[in-house]
Amino acid sequence: MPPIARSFGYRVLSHTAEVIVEIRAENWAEFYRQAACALLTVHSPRPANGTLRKFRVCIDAEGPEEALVSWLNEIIYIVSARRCLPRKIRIVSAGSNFIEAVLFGAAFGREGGIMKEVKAATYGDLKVRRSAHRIMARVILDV
Amino acid sequence: MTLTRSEFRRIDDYRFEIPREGAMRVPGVIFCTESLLRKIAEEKVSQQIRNVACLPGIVGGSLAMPDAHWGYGFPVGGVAAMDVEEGVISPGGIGYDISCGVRLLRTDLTAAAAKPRMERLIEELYRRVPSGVGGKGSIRLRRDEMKGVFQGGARWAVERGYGETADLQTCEDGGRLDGADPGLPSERAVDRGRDQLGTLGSGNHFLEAQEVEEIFDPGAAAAFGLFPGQLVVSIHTGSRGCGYQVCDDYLRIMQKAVHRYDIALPDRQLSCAPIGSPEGREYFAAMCSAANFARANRQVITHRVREAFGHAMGMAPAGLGIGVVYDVCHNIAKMETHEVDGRKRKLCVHRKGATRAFPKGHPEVPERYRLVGQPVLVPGSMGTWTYVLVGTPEAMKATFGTTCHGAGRMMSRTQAAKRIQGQALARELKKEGIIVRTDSYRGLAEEAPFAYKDVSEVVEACHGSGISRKVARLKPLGVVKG
Repeated sequence: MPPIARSFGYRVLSHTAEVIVEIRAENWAEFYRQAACALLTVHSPRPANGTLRKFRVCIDAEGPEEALVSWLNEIIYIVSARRCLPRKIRIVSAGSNFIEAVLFGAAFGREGGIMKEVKAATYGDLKVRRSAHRIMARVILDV
Repeated sequence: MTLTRSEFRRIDDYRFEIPREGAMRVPGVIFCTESLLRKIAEEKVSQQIRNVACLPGIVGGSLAMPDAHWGYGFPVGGVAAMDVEEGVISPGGIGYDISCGVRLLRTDLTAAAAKPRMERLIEELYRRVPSGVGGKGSIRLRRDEMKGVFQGGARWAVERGYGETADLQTCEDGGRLDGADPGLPSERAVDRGRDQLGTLGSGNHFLEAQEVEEIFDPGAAAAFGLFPGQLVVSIHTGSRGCGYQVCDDYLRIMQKAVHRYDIALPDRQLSCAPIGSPEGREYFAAMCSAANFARANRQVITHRVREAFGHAMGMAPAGLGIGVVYDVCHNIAKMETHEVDGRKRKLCVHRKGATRAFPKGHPEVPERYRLVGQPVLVPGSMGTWTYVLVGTPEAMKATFGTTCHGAGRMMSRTQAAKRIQGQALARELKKEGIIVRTDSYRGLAEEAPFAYKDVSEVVEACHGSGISRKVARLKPLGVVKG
């Protein structure tokens, strides 16, 4: 399965009907940042221009899987309901089951910005694995 | 635990069993041909069928329709009926796009008569029915108005002038599901849905002008108001962001419920709660609310279609005979009574990418069609046919009154977009006489016909196995693609 997009910290793969995101990072802050970048790559290959709006996100979860899915769904909500495409992500603090972050996003319209609608990050085949030096995850996006 | 083809036991030409083993409470049954089974077996669908078979209270079998393909948790094309006393309800068994479905509109026009104005018609439809990712509708609802939609469904829309009372008579459930609690969808669900009423969305959603190309069952076709050469319109969309959010909200609640009720699950996406538990009852009521949003959405689009026809054809919409053949959803859980092992049982039937197909005489079939059976609408991929089928008594016995919902995807979006560019596909379709209007040529390429199974093969499997019967085949003339 060749990747649609990749960077140092993530790969985006196309499945039959969905999109799979693989993330790897050395710490939790980087892990959530890479996950957000991967999701935003699926939403749009280019950033939205315009005045930036600020969104504060706080997540407290029971474990890393729930934290990851909640984090991604928080961004999906900002894109879908607030019609803003986050451009800058500042992770204030993060751990295996919590994230505090500030996102800055620009509005998009019908003509530009968003390439693909992402309905949700799912729990299907969700995996978050930790080793001494690395955190890795695989999450499926419903598109 | 991936199964090989040899692990399927052939029951007959159209049914293959995955025998019960391990934690499975019932066997798996796939309704398909040998050729379709080959495609289904290539994915992890059989594993998902087995996982669903492990859920508490499942009755009869974990079923898959001929268009089944890999989903998350439940397979798409999956059917699971749970005993209401002992069973669970799972948001993953319905999917994110709650009550996604198809509505078919008939007209008094022939395709031949409308052909000179087809470009204009498709343009008007595109202009009036927002599609694509950023598409906002012209209706923006307040929270209290959203409650009205959650409660009233298509009836809410008709009461506000978006359509005619007669439209509701041939909608599943009269266009409105009982059991909704409009206070349950979260603020976020309201936020995500408030400006999306009357919009198509993206992905495989579409609005299509079609010609009735072939009639297989003249009696049923006449009852449905269909005749050869007729111009008809199909609408495929659902509950949009509102439904996605309801599903996401309750999956999170169900993750905790799984621990509370000590339910062992092979996949977290199957998270669930007992049907009678507070979590189960709340999810069902929230799901009904989102389902009513989807029905209102298709009703508002129906109104816009009438407006578009009026402008394109230069006639008052009332003179064009535009009426609803049927409105049916394929992502839903419903409380239904079915006969199992000789006794009637109340069941919660999960249908994810599967369509209800009730036979003639069933009290839930609209009165107008009760002598014939419930219409089933099966859209193919863009550029191929849509089929009208009818429900059968065999479906009641074998699949809890269920059949397929479409062609079923078999190629990833990326693979499809690599094989053809959107503009080239639009030109190819035009050569075949199909006009395409879209916001996204990339999205168009991702939905290319070759990315899907052959809808005719899927329909033949349904017809052959008896879980629905062919009535008519519709040929696309023009598409507005989400």
